[in-house]
Order: sequence, then C-alpha cells, then structure tokens
Amino acid sequence: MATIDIKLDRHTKIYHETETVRGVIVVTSKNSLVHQGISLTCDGVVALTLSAKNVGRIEALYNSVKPVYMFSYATEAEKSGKLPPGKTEIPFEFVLKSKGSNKHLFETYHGVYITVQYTIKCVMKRPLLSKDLNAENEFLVELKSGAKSSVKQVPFTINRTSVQNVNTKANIPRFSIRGKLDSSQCCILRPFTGEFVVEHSETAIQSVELQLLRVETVGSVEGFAREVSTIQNIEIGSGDICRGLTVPIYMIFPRLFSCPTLDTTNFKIEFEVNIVVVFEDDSLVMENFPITITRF
Amino acid sequence: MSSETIWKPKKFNYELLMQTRKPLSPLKSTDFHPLKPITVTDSIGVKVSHVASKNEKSVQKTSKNNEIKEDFVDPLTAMSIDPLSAIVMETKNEPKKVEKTEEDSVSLEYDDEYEPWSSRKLAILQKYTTNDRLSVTMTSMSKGESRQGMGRQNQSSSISDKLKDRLGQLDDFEEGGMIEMQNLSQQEFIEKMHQLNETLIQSWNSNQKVKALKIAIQCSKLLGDLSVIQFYPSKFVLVTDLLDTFGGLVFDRILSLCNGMTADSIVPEEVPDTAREICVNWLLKIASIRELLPRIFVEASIIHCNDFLQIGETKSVLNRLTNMTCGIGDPLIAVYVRAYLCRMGVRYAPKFKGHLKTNFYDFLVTYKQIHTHPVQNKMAAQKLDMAVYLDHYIPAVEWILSSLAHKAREATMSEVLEKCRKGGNSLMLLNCCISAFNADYVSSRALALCDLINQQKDDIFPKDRVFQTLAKKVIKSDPPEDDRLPLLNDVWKLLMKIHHPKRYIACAEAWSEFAAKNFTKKEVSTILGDIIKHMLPDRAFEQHYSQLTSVVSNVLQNMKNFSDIFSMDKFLPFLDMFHNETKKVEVCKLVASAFNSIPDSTTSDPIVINGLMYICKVMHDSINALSLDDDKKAASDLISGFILKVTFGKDFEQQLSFFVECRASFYGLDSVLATLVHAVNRLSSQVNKIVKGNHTRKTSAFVRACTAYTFITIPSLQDKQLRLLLYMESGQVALTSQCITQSDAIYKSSISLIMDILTVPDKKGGMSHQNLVGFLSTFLSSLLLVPDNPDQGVLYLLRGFLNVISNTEVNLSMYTQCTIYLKILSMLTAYSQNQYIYHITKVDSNDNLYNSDPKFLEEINTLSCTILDQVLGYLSSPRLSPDKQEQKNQSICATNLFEVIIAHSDLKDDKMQRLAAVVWELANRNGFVETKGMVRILDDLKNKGGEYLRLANSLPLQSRA
Repeated sequence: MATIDIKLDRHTKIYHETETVRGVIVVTSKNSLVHQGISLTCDGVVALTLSAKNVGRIEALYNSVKPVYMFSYATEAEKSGKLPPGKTEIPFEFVLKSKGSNKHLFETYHGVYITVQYTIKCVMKRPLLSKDLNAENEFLVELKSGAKSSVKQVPFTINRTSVQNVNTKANIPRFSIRGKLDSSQCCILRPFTGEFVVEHSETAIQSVELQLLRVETVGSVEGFAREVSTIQNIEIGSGDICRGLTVPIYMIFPRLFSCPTLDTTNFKIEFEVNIVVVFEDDSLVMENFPITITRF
Repeated sequence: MSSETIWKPKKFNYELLMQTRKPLSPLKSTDFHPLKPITVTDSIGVKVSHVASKNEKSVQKTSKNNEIKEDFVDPLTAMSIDPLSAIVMETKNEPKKVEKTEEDSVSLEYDDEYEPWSSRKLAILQKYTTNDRLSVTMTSMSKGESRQGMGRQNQSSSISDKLKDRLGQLDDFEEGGMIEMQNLSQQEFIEKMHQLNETLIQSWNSNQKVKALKIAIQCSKLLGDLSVIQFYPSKFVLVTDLLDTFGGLVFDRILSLCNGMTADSIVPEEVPDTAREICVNWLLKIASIRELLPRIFVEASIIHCNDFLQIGETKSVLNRLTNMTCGIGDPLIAVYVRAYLCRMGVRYAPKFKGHLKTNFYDFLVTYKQIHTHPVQNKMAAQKLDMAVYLDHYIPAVEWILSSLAHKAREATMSEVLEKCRKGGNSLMLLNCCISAFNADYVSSRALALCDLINQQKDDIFPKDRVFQTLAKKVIKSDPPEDDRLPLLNDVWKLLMKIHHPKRYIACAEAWSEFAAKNFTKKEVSTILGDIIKHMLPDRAFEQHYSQLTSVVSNVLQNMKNFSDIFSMDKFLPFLDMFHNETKKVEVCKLVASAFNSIPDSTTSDPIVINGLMYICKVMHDSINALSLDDDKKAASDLISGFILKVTFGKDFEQQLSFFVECRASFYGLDSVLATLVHAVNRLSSQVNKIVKGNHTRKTSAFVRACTAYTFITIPSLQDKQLRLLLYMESGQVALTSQCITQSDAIYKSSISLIMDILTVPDKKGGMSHQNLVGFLSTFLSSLLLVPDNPDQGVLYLLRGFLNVISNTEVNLSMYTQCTIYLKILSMLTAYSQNQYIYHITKVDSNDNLYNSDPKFLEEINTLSCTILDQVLGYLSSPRLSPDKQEQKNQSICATNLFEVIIAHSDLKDDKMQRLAAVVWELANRNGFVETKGMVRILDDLKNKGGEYLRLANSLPLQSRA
C-alpha cells in the first residue's frame, strides 16, 4: 500500500501573510509507484452558511452563501512518471499572499456558520484500476498586525435589580455579586481575566460559570443573519462560594474556535462573555459582556 | 572364658606423672588478627610524594614500580585504601559540585524533619475508613475506546477534525455515557482506583493519551463528591496518587522530547518546538475542562510541565491555581485542593513559599463557612457531629501548615497563631498549628498556648485533643524549666474536668509521659492517682487497657529508678486496675523487663523487691497447664532475671531466705527453680571461698542449709534431665563444702533418678547415647571423690550405679551399656591407686580411708573382672543380628576396650598381654575398623617400647580385604 502525506516545516503550523509556506509531500511505498502526476493545491476559503433559523430550512440547504476565496495556489509537484520504492519526499513552497491587492487574509477560525480555513491538498493521479491518492493538511494563519488590546476595566454588579429578564424576577433570590473584568478588549494570546466577590446571597449558590460566545453575522440577499452560540463554558465557582472572598475569573481563549474580532462587508465574527450564576434552586442569572478580541 | 578373665590395674604415681609431663608452653598472644585493619608502616604515599617533585615521566615510572612493589611485598597493602572509601573519594572528586548544589538546594528547603507526604498517606488511609457504600461515576471506557479506534483509523483527517473528535470525546464523557457504580464497599473502591491507575498507564503506553486524560479528569471529579465524608481524606489520597501518575507520564513524555535534558536541568530556551507545542497543547486541553475542581486538580498535577515554557512559570501558575481555589464553595473540598497545591508546590517549587501562606489564610476565611447551611445540611444528612466533621480537616490543614512551618522563623508561628485565634472555633486550627510547627517553638511558648487554648470558647472541637497534641511537642522538646510545673497544673486542671473516660485517658496518657519525664515521683504518683480515680467508675478501665498500658510504659521509660517507681503509693494500685488477666500479665511483663533491662544493676531495696515479687507472682500465677511454652519461657526468663538481680551483699542469710521465699512463690516454673538451685549453689560456693575451706560452726551450718535447700528443691522440678544435672552440681558443691553426708544423700537420689530416667521408654525424654555416656562419665569422675559411707558396704554408690546399669528393666542397648562399663573399668583403676588423682581439701576420699587395704583392692578387682566379663561377653557374642550397625558397634566397643587396656592395665602381666591380643582380634574381626587408625595405634605402642613393644609385635595387622 502506498501512502501519501503532507508535512509542513513548522510544528505549530502557524504562518503569517507574505511568509513562505514550505513543506514536503511524503510518499511511501513498498514497490515502485507509477503515477500520472502529483498536483498540489492550496486554498484559503471563508465558508459561510445561513442558519436554518433565519432562512427556511430548504433555503439553508440550497441557498448557501457563496464562499469567499482569499487565497489559492496550485502547482504540479511532480510530473507523471515513476517513483522509486521506499520513502520519497517532494518539497514544495509557496508565498502566502492574498489574491486581491486590497484584501487581507483572515485568521483561521472554526465556527458554526463561518469557517476560515487554509488547506493544502495533494492528489496523486494514478493509472487505471488504482485509486487516486489524496492527502490534506490544514495550516493556520495568524495576523501580522492588527488592533491592540487595551486595559479597560469593566466593573460590574449583579443583583436582583440588574437582571434584565423581568418575567422571572420573582423567582430570583436576593443576592449581590460585585466584580470586574480586567479588560473588554482582550488579546487572544493572553487569558481572559477578572475577579468577583459574592457579597451576599440568601440562597446558596450552586455554581458560577463563564461562557464564551461567538456572534456570527452572515450577510445575504435577504439581509444579515446574526447567530449567537456558545464556544465554551467554564466553571469559575463551584458550590456555595465563600462570601467576601475574591474569586478570580480566568479563561484561556481556545485555539481555532476564537479569532480576533472580524468585521467585513458580508460577514462579522464577534465575541461575548456571559457570567452565569446558578442557584441551588436551579434559578439562574446571567450577565452579558460584549468583548473585542485582538491579536496583539 | 569368664573364669579366666582377670584385670590387673596399672599403678600410677600421679605426682610423678605431673612432673614428667611437659607443661604446655603458654599461648603467645599475637598481634595478628585477620580482621584487624592493616596499617602500613612503610608508606608508599610518601615515596610518591617524594618523587612528585621531579618531572611527570619519572612519577609515572616510579608509580608503576610502586605498583609492582606493592604486589610483590604484600598483596594486602593494596587494600590500604579499601574499595568503598575509594569509591567515596572518586565520587567526591568528580561530580562534587553538582551533587553539592543539588543537595544543598533540596536540604535547605525540606529535610528529614519534614514528614514526607508518603508517610502521612498511609496514616490517612488507615485512619479514615468507612463502612458506608461509595459510588464512582464513570463513563464506560469501552465506549471511549471504540470511538478512539475510529479516530485512529481516520488518519488523513485534518487537525480540526481531530480536534473536534477529541473535544467531542471530552464532551461525550462530560455529558453522556455515564455509568454510576454505586454501592461499592471501601475495599472495592480502593481496588477500582488501583485498576484505574493501571488502565491509565496502559492507555498512555498504548498511545491513547486522551483516554488517560479522561481518567484523570474523572477521578479528580470524584473529589467533588462529599457523600461519604468519613472516607474523603482517604479518597483524596487515592485520587492524588493517580494524578501523580498522570503528571509523571506527561512530564516524562515531554522531557523525552527535550534531547538530553534531565528533570533538574531544564532550560526553557532550549526546549525544542515539538516539546513546547505538546506542552502547550496539554495546558490548553486542560484549560478547557468545564468543571472547576478537575481543572484545578489536573492542571496542578502537571504543574511541573510549566518548567518547559518559562522559568518561574510554575510559581505563577501555582499562585493562580491558589486563587482559583477560592471559587470552590465547600470548605472541606477546598482545603484538600489547597493541600494538593501545597504538596505540588513543595515538590516542584521548593524554594517558593508564597502560595503556602496565601493558601492557609484563604482557608481561614473559608473556615467560617462550617456554620453555613449547605455544610450543616451535609453533616446532618450523614449524621456527623461537628467534632467528627472537623476531624476530617486535620490531614489537609496539618499538611498545609507543616509545609508552611518547615524551617519557618518563629515570627511566622506567632503570625499564624494570631490569625488562628481571631478566627473563632479555632481549637482545630490551634491543634494543627501545634502539631505542624517546630517542637522548640511550641515548647518555648507552651504555657502561653495553654492559656490560649483554655480561653477558647469553642465547644465544637475537644480541648483535650489539642492538649494531647501539645503534650507530644513538649515531650519532644523540653519547655523552659520554670514553665513546666504551671503547665502541668494548668493542663491537669482541665483534664480533671473531663468526665468522658475515652477522651480523658487519651489526653492523660500523653501528659503522664510529660510528667514522668520532667517531674519526680510525687507528681507522677498524683497523676496516676487521678487516672485511677477517673477510670474506676463504671469500670471504664476495661475499655482502655491499651492506653493504661502505655501510661505504665511511659512511666517505666522515663523513670529509671525503680525504688522511685515502687515507692509511689499509686503505682501498684494502678496495676491493680488491670482486671483482665492477660492484660495484667502483659503489664507485669513490661515492668519486669524494664527492670531487667537496666544494665549492671542489683538491688537490695525491700520496696523494689516486694513490688517486683508481687509482679513476678502475677506472671507466675498466670502460667497454668494450658499455657504455651513460649509464655512459660518468657515468664521464667523475666522472673529468673529478677531473682539474679537481687543481692544482699554479704548478708548471706537474708539472701538465702529470699531464695526460700522465691521458691515458695515460683514453685511452678522449672527454669526458675533451676535458677534458684544454681543461685543457692553459688551462694554456698561463695561462702566456701570466703572461709577458704575452714568452716566455723556458723558457716558450716549455713552451707548445710544451702545443700538442704537444693536437695529439697530439686525433686520438685518436672524435667528429669535438668534434675539430674542439678543433682550433680549440688552434689559437687556439697562435697566441696564438706557436707559429706548430704552429698551422699544427693548422689543416692541421683542414682535412683538415673534409674528412673533409664526405665522410661526410649522415645519419651530418653537421653541419646552420646549425652548419656558423656553425663555418666562426669558423674563417675565425681564419684571418685565421695568417700564410702562406713555404714554401707565398700563402694556402695558405685555398686548401686552398676545395679542400675545392669538392671534388666533399664532401657539400654548392649552397646551403650558396654560403653558405660568401660568407663567404670577406667574408674575402678583410678580407685585402686594409692593416691587418687584429685582431692577436695578437708575431704578424705577412699584412698585415705582404706589406705590401699588389700581387701579393698580385692573388692575392686572382683568388680573389674565382673565388668570385663560382661564386656567380653558382648564382644564375643556371635553375630546375633545381621545388623551392620550392631557389628560396627561391637568393633568400636572392642577398640575402646583395647584402648582402656593399654591405658589402664598392667601390660607387664602376660595375662593382660593375652587379653589385649584377644581384644585386638575382636576389634578387627568384622572389618569395620579403619586400618589407618589401627596402624597408628600400633606405631604408638612401638614408640612406647618395653612391654608395649612386645605387645605390638604380637599383634597381627589385618589389612582390609
């Protein structure tokens, strides 16, 4: 059995715009291998999907928004011929540069409705009766420059009065949580931090959670579709937290699933955090904070 | 043949013999001893250093020469530097620097004084157990495995797919697929944890890292479950063990990627990208764990991996995790998390102490929560009272504090104490503080601490437990002289008020040691009295024998003077509290062995003797027919030890009356009685030695009393052989003490005892041939000294003995009998001499009694002939049995007889010559005798010349066919 694989020169697989992506196509085979050419393609695509909630279910299937190509590259790595038995490495390299002169490459991001992905594909065409061999590898792109984070403390107080959902107010116990976020403009490399203190609460607290949300907006013919979904949910307090003790808020932005806040003409990627307080009687209170994520 | 047999004894002049005998040249004591270290006087090192001033070449040359020389002169000089010290020298030279710095840094931080976690672990596991049912919530592993398998096949998937797959698995394990294993017993739970540990290692080795992580997370989740609080500390130990395994695996894997770095020499800048990437990935994966508790635990378990990323990173992570712990609501869970953080901190960042204090102070804040509803509800649900609940904090708090207290300055202790005091309900905290800090610090302020404890209005945690802890410290390190008495008074004031016997005795046990160590008998006696007062109501002592025993042993260990111990009027009443027979005996043994273990001590103090007599009596009375041999032996040894320690110096009368008393008390133990007999014999000999054989009326009465004592005592022994030995010893002593009639009686009894022993069937306590012959030879030799009783016939003792041996009821083989006969034959020769070979001063043996009277000699001769007849009868008996052994025995016997003839008979007589020739032939008859030995005998005879040569020439030498 012959196998084919793509290896990149960087372990982290992180590349920046204008940098050269280098790597090798590794073909291993016991016997000599006849092929009709090995082609290598690389695409940087923003895939956009419409949520079934905003447009009809059928429309969501058919009417998906056209993907945005930021970058593409194709070459024939090897002309048709014969590879010797054993391991053969075919090097390749290309410069990572956006197609249009005014456009920039976006950072890699894996979301629900929006995905920014850079993949290298390699196909070895083979004569009759043998399947073509495929290999695929994704690399990550990070911005080289961009908005900087800043220290903008966001103090907050959560209590009965601050809760916005009026209907359930009757069920909510008397309590007060005071705290601050260290910044609402956060660097993706650094953890999201802050602290809070439970000042008092008449009902025992079950947990305090920190949610990281993505807000994806996709523009289409029918206008913008805005979708909010949870990326991760992290407990920062569990059990009936000691009153008056400062509890840190600490969360690391996950790779791939978060990227610097992005705002383009046909789509937007934004982030929010929620602080959720769950009480022993299962009633919960949530406070929302929009945040901006930056690369630097 | 029998009518022909004659015996002509050879006449010896012993004095002349003694003169002609060459004295043995005294053994030179040589300096040589094989184990002595060899000192080289001619030092080679000097030579080398001499030459060392010359150039290198010559040094090498000479050193080579030296080597050769060394070998040549003495191979052992090579050992002047023994291999061990050579190794030491080598290691000293080479890696000195590395070793030193390492050791220093470690020892500076945490040394022996610091009780390591591993030793605490076991204590915790033993202490915190439960009979309640436990539950483990786990995802089914098989499911995870199958998914993992799928993921593995799908090789070409992009990283995002892989990541999704993995995260999916994590989700899977977090949300679905739970199976809860309930109703596990404690043992099953422990097994399950070990099994998980195994699975963890297995899955790691089979490259299923995600599964390993899952197991780690799930196990740390178990620590969030407080449903069985009694078991929680043990659960903590089990889970953290597993986490340690996990952390070790992750660390080792990353380390293996860092070419050639060791765990101590990680340079973050040189860590290769791959290793760094893996490390970061682990940290990211752990950071995304949803729940707080497992996130902290798992991150803490791989905290040392931060060393790969940046110097000092471990410290900041430690701080962050410490802060994050504030988010854990339950104070008990939180304190264990903190304990784990401290443990990891101590282990991986030993120089960093900041987090320890933070951890403790944060804990103090959360400690107030014990009164909140959630905690109270949990306690109520499990029917725990507050004191028991608080008990479960102790391992964690102690650990945190001991990490904090290690090598801390005294100011730290003051600071911590102050904080504890302010908190309220602080007895538990004080307890941990006292046990954690250096004993010197604690002792120096023991009095103040005592006040502090007394001031606390804390009815949750028992004060006596704190005092108990305090006791341990003040015993370890003495408090200032002036503080001791007030301290004891203060503590005891409180102790007296405790009515709960269990709590009382636990505390009293600890403080009794303090009292025994620092105070005199007056205080200790008071304390013992108080313990008695508390223990007597409702027979409370029955439940606390072990504590009471340890009080006794504390007193014994710390008060070396037994007259003090026994003069305390409460000591014996204290022992009386042990109503349980076995416990009482145990305590008595303790006392007796403590007394016996005092080296080189004797006593004549009547108080001590009385006390110990009482104690020994208890031990003695505990022995009955059903007792095990070991028990008997232990008791006898202790009692004998005590008896031998009692001396009244020159007051022999009192000594003897003491022995009489002992005999009355310890009649049931053979070896004690034997000891008594020995002791009395020694006493008698001592007196004899002092008067140098010239007894006055008083002394002779005394030694007679001694002999009477032994004579009466011996028959009460069970063991007949022992009795026989004692008879012989006593007979000899009686004879040396000139108690002739008494010794006569003793020998008479011993002969009848021999009869007794020999008639019992062989298997039951019979003596072996060797023992019997050996013993009887000694017996016969001492008979030589015993003068005949004028009222009885000539040599009546010997006759009596002969009668015993030849008695048909006696269970003896012919061979043994003949061997004994041969001994008697030699003995008779000795009897027939004009002057016996040895005498006792002032005792006239038969030689002086009869003065070689012809009648007497005739008597001896008749006896000799009879005996010889018997022996020859045995030897010449035809081959009765085809038994080879019997034939061999006959040959041996014949050889022996031949030797006796050579040694003791008058060979100038032709008849004797003929007899010798006959016996020689008999000896060679069956071909069982070694020719070599025979040749040697012949050579010897030839050398002697005279009649011996004549004999030798007449003897044929039979070569073996």
